[in-house]
Amino acid sequence: MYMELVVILSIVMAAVSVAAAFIIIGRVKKQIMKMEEVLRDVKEGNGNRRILAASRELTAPLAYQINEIIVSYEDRIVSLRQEEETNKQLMTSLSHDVRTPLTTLIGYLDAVHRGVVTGKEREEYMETARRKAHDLKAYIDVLFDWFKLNSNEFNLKMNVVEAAELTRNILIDWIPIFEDNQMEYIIDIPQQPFFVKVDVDGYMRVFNNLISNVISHAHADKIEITLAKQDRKVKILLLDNGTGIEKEDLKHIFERLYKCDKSRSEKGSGLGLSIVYQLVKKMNGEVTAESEPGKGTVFILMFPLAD
Amino acid sequence: MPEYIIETKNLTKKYGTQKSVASLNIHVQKGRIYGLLGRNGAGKTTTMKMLLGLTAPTSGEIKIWGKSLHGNEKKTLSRIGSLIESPGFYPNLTGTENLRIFATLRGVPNNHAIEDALNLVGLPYKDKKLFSQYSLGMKQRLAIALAVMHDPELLILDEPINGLDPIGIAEVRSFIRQLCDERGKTILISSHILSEISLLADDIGIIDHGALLDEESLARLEQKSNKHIHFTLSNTAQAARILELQFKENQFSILDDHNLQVHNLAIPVSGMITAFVENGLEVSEAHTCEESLEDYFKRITGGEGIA
Repeated sequence: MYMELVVILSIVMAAVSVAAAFIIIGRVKKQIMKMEEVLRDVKEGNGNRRILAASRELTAPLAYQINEIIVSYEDRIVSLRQEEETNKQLMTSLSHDVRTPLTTLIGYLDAVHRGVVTGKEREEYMETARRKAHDLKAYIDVLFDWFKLNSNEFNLKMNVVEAAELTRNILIDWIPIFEDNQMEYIIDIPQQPFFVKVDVDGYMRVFNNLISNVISHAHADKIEITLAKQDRKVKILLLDNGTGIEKEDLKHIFERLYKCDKSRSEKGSGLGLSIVYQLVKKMNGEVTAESEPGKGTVFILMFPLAD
Repeated sequence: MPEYIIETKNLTKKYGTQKSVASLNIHVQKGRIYGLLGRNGAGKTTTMKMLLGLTAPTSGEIKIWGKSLHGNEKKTLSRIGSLIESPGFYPNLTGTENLRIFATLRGVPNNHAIEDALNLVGLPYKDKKLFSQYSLGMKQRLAIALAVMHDPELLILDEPINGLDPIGIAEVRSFIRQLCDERGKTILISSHILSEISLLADDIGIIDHGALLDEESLARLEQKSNKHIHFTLSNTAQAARILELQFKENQFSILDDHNLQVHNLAIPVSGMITAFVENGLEVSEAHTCEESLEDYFKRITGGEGIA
């Protein structure tokens, strides 16, 4: 009697486990079929496809692993695509923003060459052409800086340097230019040293771009540059009393090719501030801007202090 | 031949005798943001509902990934993320718990999908706050998190910025842009705000009274609405010199050796033509293009415009 019960029980148990196994196998099989279908799509080049699985499913760890591999390859493709995009933009810039000044320059030189003008006027034409050639070179320099930054070919040598002295040395060269432009300047840099880890050349470019941006676009007659310590950072303020930047524009000023003045021929590449932003970011700093239209703009630079 | 992710042919939806959507043919290209622009009641939501199989079309065809949606709903819809009106969340559960339910039902691509989705929209993970205590903006954010949680290839978002504050709008805009640029997602959004669409979309479909009035890339639309005077003449270099010297004008771009655009509409065209001809240039064409994007929409929607 007892033996029979055991036998029946074991038979029932065996049947149940076989049935359960079939159910599980069936479910896994269905999931594998789903995975296969997704993978076929991925194989055909659709890197955006993912295998979806609820975390309690047997196949979930496998699905998640495969997804991770797909994502990591997709990331690489994306960075290649971005490089391509940068190249395309460089081409567009070259064709639009170089062609106009270069053709205009040729206009003057051709006129001289054909003898349309003589004497003093000829001299003036030559001077205009020379100036335009210099502007064009400056533009191309900026363009290639930006291009190098975007294709990660810009090698920064990060060294611990003393910011107060470095900043003072950069500003010395700007003082005659402030005076030429009849701008009042206030420079407040304390005597004590502040050590930061930056690329000296990059740091200089950041300043030069920001200041030349103020001079050529802000229409200011006063500039104030201060450097101070805040928490574990060096905070540098560049304040002007110019026309300011509209709120809608302010959000975009660090974007490439953004110009507040919608007429595209206003002098300037639209790249200066984008270069500043990227350089500062690469040097582990931050740059922000605040502005009140009609009153002026302040650019705020922050660099972490070196230990 | 561009690859269309969504393509509709004569899509029509009638409620009684009222046509809510009439013979709509839209084409959403892979890896781009398509903005469906129209006023309230123009048929945007109905179109999106049909694309998601939430309501059946009266007539016409929907193709998603090249396959008819009808009959392939299950396979197709799992690859789409959508936000349409408000999804049914449980008020007595937290945001994280709500997403976990959907994750179990629909499957996710990895173990950290819920956390990632919440991070993306700026909501805290494993927060104690119940859904019923959420603000309108937070509810909208959670709905967006749900739409992106399974890392879909295609996103269909109906007025995604509804109920968000200005900072929220900027955040959502930037991550939608990012999903498209960095992850290659295809996105269909709708809005009744022209400026919103023009900030975000690559392609725009204008829908009014259920019919598609125009479908065009934003770049083309902007080109169309760029204000300028176009000249075709024998020598753009000389023309540029004349513009600079006689008209003190530097807002122009040179397209090639014979085509030039002046961006300042204040200069009389006849004066410029006379000056060009006097300097020995042959002018074969001159015309003014002036229509802003808004004017264009006004014209195309029959004068009412889109607020």
